[in-house]
Amino acid sequence: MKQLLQKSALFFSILILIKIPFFLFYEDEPMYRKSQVAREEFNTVFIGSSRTKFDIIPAYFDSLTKEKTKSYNFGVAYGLPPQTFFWCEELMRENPSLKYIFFELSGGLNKSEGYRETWSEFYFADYSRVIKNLNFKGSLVYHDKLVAGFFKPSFSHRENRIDHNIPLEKVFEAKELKAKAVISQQFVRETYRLNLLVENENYHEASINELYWDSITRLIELAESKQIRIYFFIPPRIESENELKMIHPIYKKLDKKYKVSVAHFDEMFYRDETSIDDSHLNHKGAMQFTKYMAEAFNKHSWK
Amino acid sequence: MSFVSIFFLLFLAFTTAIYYLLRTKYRTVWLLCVSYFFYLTWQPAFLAVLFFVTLLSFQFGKKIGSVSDGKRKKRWLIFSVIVLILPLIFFKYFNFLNDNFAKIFALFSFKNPLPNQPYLAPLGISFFTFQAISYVADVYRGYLKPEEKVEKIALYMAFFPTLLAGPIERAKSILNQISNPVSFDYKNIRAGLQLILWGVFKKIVLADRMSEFMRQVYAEPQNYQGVLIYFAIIFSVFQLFCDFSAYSDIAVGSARMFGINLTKNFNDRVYATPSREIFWQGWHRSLTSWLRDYVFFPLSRNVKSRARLYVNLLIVYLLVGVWHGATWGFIVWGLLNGIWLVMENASKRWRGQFFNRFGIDVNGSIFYFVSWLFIFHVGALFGAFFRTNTPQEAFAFISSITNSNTNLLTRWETKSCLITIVFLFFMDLINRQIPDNQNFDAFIGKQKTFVRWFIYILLAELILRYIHVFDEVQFMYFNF
Repeated sequence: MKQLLQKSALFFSILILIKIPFFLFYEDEPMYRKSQVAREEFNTVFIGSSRTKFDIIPAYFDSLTKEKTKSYNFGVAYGLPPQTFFWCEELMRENPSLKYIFFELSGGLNKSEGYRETWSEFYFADYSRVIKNLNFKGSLVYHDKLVAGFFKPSFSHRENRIDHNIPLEKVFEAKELKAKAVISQQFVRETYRLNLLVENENYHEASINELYWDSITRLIELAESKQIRIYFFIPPRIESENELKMIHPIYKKLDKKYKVSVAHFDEMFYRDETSIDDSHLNHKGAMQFTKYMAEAFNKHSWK
Repeated sequence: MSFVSIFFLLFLAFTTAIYYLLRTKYRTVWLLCVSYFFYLTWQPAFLAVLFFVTLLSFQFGKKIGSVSDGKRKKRWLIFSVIVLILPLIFFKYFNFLNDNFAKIFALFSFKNPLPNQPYLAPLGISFFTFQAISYVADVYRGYLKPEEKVEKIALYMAFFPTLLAGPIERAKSILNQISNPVSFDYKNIRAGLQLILWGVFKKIVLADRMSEFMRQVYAEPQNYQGVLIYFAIIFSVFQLFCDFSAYSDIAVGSARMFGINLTKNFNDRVYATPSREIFWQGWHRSLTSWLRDYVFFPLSRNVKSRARLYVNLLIVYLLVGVWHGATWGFIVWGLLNGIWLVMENASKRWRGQFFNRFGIDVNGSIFYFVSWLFIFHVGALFGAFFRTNTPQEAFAFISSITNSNTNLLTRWETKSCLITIVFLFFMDLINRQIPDNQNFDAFIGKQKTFVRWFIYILLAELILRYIHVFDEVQFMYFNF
């Protein structure tokens, strides 16, 4: 028995030793993006999931806006609420230069019923918040994620496939991939149907997610206290009916001044020639969507 | 409680510790209680089905053992097999049969009056039903005396490592080991943990990665290049092997921690066999040996005609297909395997003469390689029937191998596919060194300390790297 315990201790010690360098020197994507925003003193930030990351080109947006914007794309794969709320709050607190925030409304808060705050914290290995928020019952529910996450070597968390945070000249130089995307027509037809329903007042009367709404209200209050204008938007390609059910009542309840009404229902965003894959736009699609965003922003009246 | 979860490891550690602390006379009851608890974590309602089949097999065993008249004994055996198999037919096959009857009735403009049954099949029902039948059949044949203690039969049926997806054990082997428990031995614990580590590696790093890739490709084959369709086809053999042999390794490893040895269910290089006959000798051995002993041999007793033996072989492989699931895809897959084996067997002499005439050495390595290549690819094509619901779907999938879309290099699936191939070579490198009829622990036990620990850490890091902590890990054979 003694031999067994000694060898088990040695085994787990080696796993921890391997993990230490990653823990000390590894900068995951949200951390990397936060440091970028702080260093370059951007005054406009787009926060959201990979849909924001793929679909918005900041330098092109800046070239089209009437206001003086210097924007940054803070889209992160799997960047879903509540993690996006935390990032947004941190960015507002840590960056006095911020004037405008565009915040993606997406599903995610009910990913793990009962312990809603914890799912994305685990995903992004945000252990300070995990420890702060997790109670005993929650740690029982999440025991496997706690242990696996603790030992997991995090060497591929940064998503480098695409980064639209490039100077304007490079935006125009960018070329589409030679290979044409072949997207799932069934999926895209469905997501087009869902996106059309966003503005539909009579869509399914799903009850509002109070936690989601409270978080939105908190963001708005914080933004107003710091004289930051915050806008909520819906990206093309709503993933599922469940996501729509979550964001539709929120979108409906939001005051007009906090919404940028983008022409996300434009049929062109649901074609092969504007897609990189099922869920994201390619460069051509992103240029068009960014243009719509800038136009909506220019037309928007902050009253 | 998934086999691949921290909860299972804690459960196993706790169960093992208490097992060795208890007096030997209480150990069976302890293992029985934890096995029922294990089943409760999956499907509490269906524990009743397990109880029912257990009690029936216990009583039938006693009855068959007590009857001395041969004819009456046989009648009791037939009756008990019919009764024991009824829950399996009801839960697993009723809807399939009912739907097909409805289609036949519709041809004559009749409406099928029977509604479909609304329940899912209880997990492990195919496995514990076969174990129950083998117990009563062995008692009938006199291989085994009827067990006097119901808790021992209950544990044989419900032993948690084998409960959900086998191996399908024989009563004699398990009852002997239950009746003679071993004392704590570090070597058993170490071997158990080594097997579990190897099993989890095959499941997470190989089977699940291939499964994800294949799920995408099978869902929309029109979106993929022919090369990726080809890999999806050949991965079906490896994915099934890795998934099921991983489960078997974890089951064997878990049982070994209690000093109980289970059947080795797969030859380690079963995917590299030069004939279908040898393939089936090494694939899901506990099922094929069960069908050999309880179906093929009884059917073939006193049979002198070769043709009749071939018909029996076809029946066995039809049952292999049906056992896997109630779909026409499985039935066709089973029959194709049967036809193949019959053809292989019937043409053996002729093939030998043919190759000899051309001076081809049928025992040489080149012939072995070409045979393997052929057998592997035909088997992989059969896999398409295994994975689809209808033969038409399988044919449509296979025909998309001619796709020539130009999106090969931009799809993440290509990279995923290449990484998987590297890991498959790594697995094969180790599998080549595992001695026949032994497990991974026999290979790793022979290595020097540094190499052994290097492999432990490498496997653990790869598992941690690829495990999806947000998804429950499910094994394919739970469906059967």
